Amino acid sequence: MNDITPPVPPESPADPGPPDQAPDGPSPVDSLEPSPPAMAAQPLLPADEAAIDIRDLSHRFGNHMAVDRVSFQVTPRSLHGFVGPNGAGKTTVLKLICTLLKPQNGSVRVHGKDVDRQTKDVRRQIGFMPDHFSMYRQMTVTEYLDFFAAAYGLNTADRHRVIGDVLALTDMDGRRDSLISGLSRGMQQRVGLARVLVNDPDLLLLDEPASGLDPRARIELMEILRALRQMGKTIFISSHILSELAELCDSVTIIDRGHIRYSGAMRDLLEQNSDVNVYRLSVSEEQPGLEERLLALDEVMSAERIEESLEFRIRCNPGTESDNRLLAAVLGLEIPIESFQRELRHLNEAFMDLTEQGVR
Amino acid sequence: MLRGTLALMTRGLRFDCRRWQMHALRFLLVGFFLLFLFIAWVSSLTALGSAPGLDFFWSITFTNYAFVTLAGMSFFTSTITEEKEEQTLGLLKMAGVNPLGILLGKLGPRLVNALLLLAIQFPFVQLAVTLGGVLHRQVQAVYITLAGYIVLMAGVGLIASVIAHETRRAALLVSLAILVPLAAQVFVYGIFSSVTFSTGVYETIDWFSIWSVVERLRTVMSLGFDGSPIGRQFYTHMAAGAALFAVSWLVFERCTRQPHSPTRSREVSHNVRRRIRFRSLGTAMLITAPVLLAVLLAYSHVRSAVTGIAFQRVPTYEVVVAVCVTLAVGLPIITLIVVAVRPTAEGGDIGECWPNARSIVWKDLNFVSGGAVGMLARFSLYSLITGLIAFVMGVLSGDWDPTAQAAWMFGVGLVGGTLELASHLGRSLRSEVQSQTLSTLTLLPRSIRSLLWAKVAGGLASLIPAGTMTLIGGAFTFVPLMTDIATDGNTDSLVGVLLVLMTVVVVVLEILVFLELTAFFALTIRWGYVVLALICTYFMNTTGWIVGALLSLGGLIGGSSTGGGRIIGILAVVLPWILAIGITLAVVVALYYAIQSRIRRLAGQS
Repeated sequence: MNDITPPVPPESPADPGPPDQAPDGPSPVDSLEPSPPAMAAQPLLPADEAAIDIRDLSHRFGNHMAVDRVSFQVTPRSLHGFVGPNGAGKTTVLKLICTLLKPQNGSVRVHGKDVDRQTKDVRRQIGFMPDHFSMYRQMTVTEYLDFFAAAYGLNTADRHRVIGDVLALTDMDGRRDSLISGLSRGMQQRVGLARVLVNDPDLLLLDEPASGLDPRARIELMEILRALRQMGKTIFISSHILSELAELCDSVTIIDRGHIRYSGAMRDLLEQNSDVNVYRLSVSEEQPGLEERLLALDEVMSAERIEESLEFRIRCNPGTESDNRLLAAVLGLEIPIESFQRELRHLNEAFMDLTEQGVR
Repeated sequence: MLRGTLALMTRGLRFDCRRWQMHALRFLLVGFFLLFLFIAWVSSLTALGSAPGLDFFWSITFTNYAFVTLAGMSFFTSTITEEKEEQTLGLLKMAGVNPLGILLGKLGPRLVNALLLLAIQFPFVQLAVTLGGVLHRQVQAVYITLAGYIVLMAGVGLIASVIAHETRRAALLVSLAILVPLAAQVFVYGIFSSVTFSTGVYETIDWFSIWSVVERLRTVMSLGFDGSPIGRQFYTHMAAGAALFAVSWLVFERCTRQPHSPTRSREVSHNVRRRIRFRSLGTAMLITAPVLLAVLLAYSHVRSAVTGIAFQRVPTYEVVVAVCVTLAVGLPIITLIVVAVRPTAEGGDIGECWPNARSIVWKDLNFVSGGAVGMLARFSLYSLITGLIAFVMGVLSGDWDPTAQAAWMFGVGLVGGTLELASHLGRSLRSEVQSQTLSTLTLLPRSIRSLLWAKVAGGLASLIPAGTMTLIGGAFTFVPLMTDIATDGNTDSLVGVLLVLMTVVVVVLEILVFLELTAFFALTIRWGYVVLALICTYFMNTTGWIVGALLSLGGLIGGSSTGGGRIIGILAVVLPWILAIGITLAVVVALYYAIQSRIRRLAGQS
């Protein structure tokens, strides 16, 4: 599949595509409730250039349409977040990518290889960490890693080297002879991550890796993921902890009720705001009447002091596109500016805007 | 207390109503009854049986006996352990339900279910009286006997469930509690048939038979039974059941105070496993073999020197006992010496696992079958059993025969090995489901078929002790037999050889069905998978034999009436066997694909 495919139109229940592309029919949920609009997706790469290439993927469990004509891509060597409410279809998509489930419709390719037809090749290239502790608790850490390294066909010398490396990376070297059943939750999660790395996969699929971890363990896990990205791995991470994903990920896909609501760069998502651009101005000393002076600028729609601080939130008039133009106007006020930056939305806000309310 | 107990009982009864396994078990029992009724009807038509009612009732009685025994090993053993495994026992205590309430509330529904299963049969078995050969009094006595036995099994299952941390261990305890006295009884009756004992021994056997439900059933089913429907067995079983319940109550708090933490025991087993490796066991076996030979030669020469009897090529029972005891005791001692002398390998555990698909064999062999320690224990156990057979035949019955010894070894090895392999396969697959590791295992770059075969290979590797016993026993049993038949040369002998070969094929296929059913049930139910597979295989086997016998009979009658003569007679005997092989093979293949499909499905769900 080396051909360049045309961009896929944004997916939305409001724009479900031709009926003949929906072999399983529309989701009963979607037919009852209006859905929030999906955001524009980026043009797709050729399938063999993407780390993950998913096109028109559908999967149904009995009467429940878990995933409905989903299309998105993950670029190589990126850290891609995959978020959605409970029951949105995240785990189903992950299992379809990692070959645990067979796609009923559509295609999934990992580094150009079809998961349905080239299953063994795909399995050699991926490392999947499920959302539960999938471990042999009666083994020690090294026995567990040695078993998986041997199962992947590594010889003894390579096993010594690889296991040493992954234990060092996950900071588990000191507990290598401990029984897995005696480890804390955070440590078991690290062992799980170490297991995923023993066959040196290009693509890591992590399902809720930070779930149930304490703050320290979460921070440490995120550090490990950053290190892995620097090593050139592609990481596809499903998580509910949006603040950490926003910091960590280059790109993100938001899924809700089996439909993709957004897929693209994280920054694009956070910068997108339908009405206004918001900036934050910080000054080094008190400036009496600054709010009024800011409001007097043509570009400014509103200006407000943030909670008695020396910071101001400035909303621009619609049509004001350029950061430089506003900055020039603010500089013209001759005030002691400490910082001036565009205020991004929180991922939580984007998530709430794009997904429907209610418990699934 | 009453409210908590009632709530637990209601929940238990509702839960059992929703479980398909319970309904499947009831249907299976009904299937057995219909089958027995059919046989009785055919017997009455062909005048093969003198008392079809008695035949029918015997079959039902012993099926019930088998079901109750198996229920004791599985159904009652999870009474408390299921709460322990789900970590809900503490919640029940916090809800204010006291130990007596928990025991009553948990055991009650199971006991009610089991007794109801017995009670609903009662009107139907009156048919046996109509068919002839059985009296109402005998029917009543049998069902009262079985009711008492159920109460005893419930008590045994309950105390095992209170003491053990897991259902698996509870089932093992109950199995030992049932099988050890039963095996002892079989041995005692085996000796009893050929040796005259002192009065004390007979009295002991009589006392022992009070506990034996089999003995009571034999008494009740004997011709002209006119005793009381309620025998001593019923009272003793009821009393024992109550006593076991009381003991369970007394030890409940002590046994359930601390939540089970397996880490400590796992640490101990890890340390033992780390020291005693297969390498050490192999070295010990290489050292033990010449020692055994030395023992054998020394004993034979000393014996011939002392008794003056010339050296014999066929070993005597004393030699067999001496060799077996030396192996059972010597092998562990030599292994320990090897372990003490051998320096601990550098580099920890890395590199221990066998590469590629064999890694799964290594994992299962070490973590399901107990590794080198388990292998060592099984070598000692099978050696002791072989020695015990020789001892009982040689010393107690005074009738030692090498061929009979070999046949016993073959039988024990085959049954033990099959049960071992079934248990290994079941535990191996069940543990993958319980620890949610099927998904990571199936993501290895190999097919589910290859994973499954690796698991079978792990089980087969653990069968070296049982396999050795079976091979030795089989060689000394069947080679002379087959040689005699084959050298005889006439057509009947050749048909005989063919029938023996087909019997072997059918037995092998039935063993495969049993193993596959165990694997399938292990992926479906949490406990009792081996027992359920055993029941299903027994049902299939019984049905097959009956249908085969009827087909043969029909063929023979048809052949004689049409004057077909000898050829039709041979075909009438051989064709049912071919049919049996075909059907069993089809079941084997269907189950093989069903297991793979089940693994794929569970991996996708986990």
